Amino acid sequence: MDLGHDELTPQSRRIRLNGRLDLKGTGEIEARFASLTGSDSRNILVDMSGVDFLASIGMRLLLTNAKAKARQGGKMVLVAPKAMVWEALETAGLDTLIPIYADEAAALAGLSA
Amino acid sequence: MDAVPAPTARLVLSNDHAGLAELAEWLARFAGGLPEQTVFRLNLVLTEAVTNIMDHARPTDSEGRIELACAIADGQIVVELADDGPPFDPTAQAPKPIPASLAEARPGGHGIQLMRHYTSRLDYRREDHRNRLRMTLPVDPPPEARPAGSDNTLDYRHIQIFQGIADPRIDEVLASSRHLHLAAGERLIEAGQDNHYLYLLFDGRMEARLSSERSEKGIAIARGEAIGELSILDGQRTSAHVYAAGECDVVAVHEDDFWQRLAPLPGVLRNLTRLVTQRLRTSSERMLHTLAEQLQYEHMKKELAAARDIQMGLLPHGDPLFPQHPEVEVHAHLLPAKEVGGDLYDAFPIDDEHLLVAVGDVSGKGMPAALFMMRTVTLLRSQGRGRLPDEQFLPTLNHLLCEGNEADMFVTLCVVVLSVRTGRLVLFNGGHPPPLLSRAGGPFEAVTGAKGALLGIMPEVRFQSRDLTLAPGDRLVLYSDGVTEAENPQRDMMGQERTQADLDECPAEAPMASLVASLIEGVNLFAAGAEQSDDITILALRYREA
Repeated sequence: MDLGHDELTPQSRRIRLNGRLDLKGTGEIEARFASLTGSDSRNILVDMSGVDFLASIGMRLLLTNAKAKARQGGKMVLVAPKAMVWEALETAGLDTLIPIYADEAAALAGLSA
Repeated sequence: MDAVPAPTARLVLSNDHAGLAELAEWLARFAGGLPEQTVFRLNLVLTEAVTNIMDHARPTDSEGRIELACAIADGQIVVELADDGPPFDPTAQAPKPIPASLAEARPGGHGIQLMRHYTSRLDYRREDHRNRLRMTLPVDPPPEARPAGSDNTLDYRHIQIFQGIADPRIDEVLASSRHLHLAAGERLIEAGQDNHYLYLLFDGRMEARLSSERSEKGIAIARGEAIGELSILDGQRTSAHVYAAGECDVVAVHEDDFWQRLAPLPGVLRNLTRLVTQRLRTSSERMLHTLAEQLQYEHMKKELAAARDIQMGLLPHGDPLFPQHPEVEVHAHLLPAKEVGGDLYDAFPIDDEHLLVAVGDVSGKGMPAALFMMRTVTLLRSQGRGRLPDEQFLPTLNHLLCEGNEADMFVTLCVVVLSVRTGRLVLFNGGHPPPLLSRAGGPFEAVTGAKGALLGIMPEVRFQSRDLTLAPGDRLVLYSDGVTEAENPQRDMMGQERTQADLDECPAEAPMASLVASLIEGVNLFAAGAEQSDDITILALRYREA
C-alpha cells in the first residue's frame, strides 16, 4: 500500500492511495493518513483511483478521518474511485457521509462550495 | 444445508491476521479465470467474513483454524467457512442504519452490510461445535457477453424497481422504450414541467437540485435508481431539476407502459413504494438536519464571541503597562483575527525590581486554542509572580502544560525578565520568533541565543536563556508570527525584514504606543485588504534611566 501527498491549493491537500485497503494495507498507511488529514486545517482530497480493493477496515479509516476533519471544521472528499470500489462505498452508505466525486475538478468545486 | 457441491477447492487458514494474507494469495490463484467484478466481490465477502471470525469468534482453547470450501457451478460460487470459535451468527446482526450526518456516524460495522449486499444467499448454522457460514454469489457474465451489447435485452438486475423480479415483459418494455445517453452536466428534467416518463438510471450518476444554481448541493441519484416517479404517481409537475453528474445511460419508460405493462408485475409497485419512501425520508431528514445545524451555528457564534471577550479580558490593558515604573515604557496590542485565536501577551511585576513581559502563540484556532491560551496565561502568572525566573522556568512551565494535554495543543512563548534598576535582561524562548532590539536609536535586529522548542508537547525539551543589558534609550519589540506571516492578496508573506524596516522608519523618540501602531499599520498596508488569518500581537518596551 502506497501513500503520496501534495498541496493542490493553499487550502487543500491531495492524498493519493495506491493498492489494497484491506487489513494489511490499511495498517500500513493509517498513521500517516491520520497525521496528513489532522495536522492542519487544509481540506483533504483523497485520490482513490489507485485503490484496487476496499474492505470495511479501509472504510473505517476513511470515516474516522472524515469525522476528525469535520470536527476541525474542514472537509474530506473522495475522488475517482474505481467502479467496484465506488459501489462498495455506496453499499456501506459512506457516500451519504463523505462526498465522492468522479474527478478532481468536480471535487475542488465541491470543496470550495 | 447440503455439502458444498463438487468440484471443490479446500483451504485451511490460520485464525489470525496471517490468515487474511493466505486468503488473498489463494484467491489470486483460484480466481484466475473469473471476471474482475466477481473476484472483487468474492474477495470482499471473504475478507469480511474471515475478519468477523477473527474479531468475534477468536478461539480460546480451539485449534485456531478456519476451513474454507469453495465451488463454482451453474453460474454461482458457493463458499463455506467453518471455524471452531464460540457461536457467532453474522446473519443475525441487525443492519446498520445510515446516520444522518458525519458527526453521528460511528465507524465500523460495515462488514455485515457488505456481505449481505454482495451475496445472493447468506446461511449460517452451528454444527459439531463449529460455526458454518455459507455464502452464495452469482458469477458476473464476462463483459463482452453482456446482454446490453450483444442482443437487444438490457441487464436490469441493478434497477431498484425491478429488484428480485425477472420477467420477459420487462425486457419487452425496455426494448420499446427510449434510450438516452447524457453527457456530464446535461439536464434530464427541468423542475415545474409536465412529465410523462419514468426514467431508469442504468449507468452513471445524477443529481437532483431545487434550483438551477450550480453551486447548490444536490441530492445524489445512484446507478439503478428511478427518476420522475413522483409525477408518474400523482400526475403533478416535476419538483426538481435533474442533471447528469457524469456520463449517464437512461431508459425512459412512458407512463402508459409503466401502468399497463410494468405495474401489474408482482413486486414492481412494492419496489417503487420502497424507493419513494426512502426518498421522502432522506429529504425530510436532510431538512431537519439543516435546520438544527443552522441553530447550532448561531448559538456557537455567540459562545465564541463570549469566549473572545473572556480571553481579552484576561490580558492586562493598562496604557502604559507599568505606570508605577517610570524606568520603562511598555505598550502592547493584540489585534484579533476573525475567529477566536490563540495569541497572548502578558506584563506584570515579579517583585519591586523585576518586571516580566511575554508574547505567545497557541497552535490552532477556536475554542481549544482559547482554552489552552488561558491555561498558559494562568500558569505563566503562577510561575512568574514573586519568584525570579531561573533556568528551570521554561522547563517547569513546559511540564505543567504537557500534563493532561489530550488535544496535543502547544504554545510558543517568548518571556523577558527585566531589572529596572540595572537594565539587565534575561530572555527565555520556547519556539517563538526572537524579539527585535534597537540600541540607541539604531536599526532593529533579532536577539538570538535563547534556545528551546515550543511548549506543551515534549516534556524533555531543554531550554537555554540569554542575558543582555539594556542601556537607556534601547527599545525591544516582541511579536507573534501574525505579523511576519501576514499575507497580501498575491500570497507573499510580510517577513522579518519588512517588519524590521517598518520599525526602523518610526522615529526613535516616538512613544511605544506609536511604534506599535505604526507596525500594525505597516502590516495592514502590506496585506492590502487580504483577510487577516491570524492574531497579530506586538509588545514594545523602551528602557529609560533607572
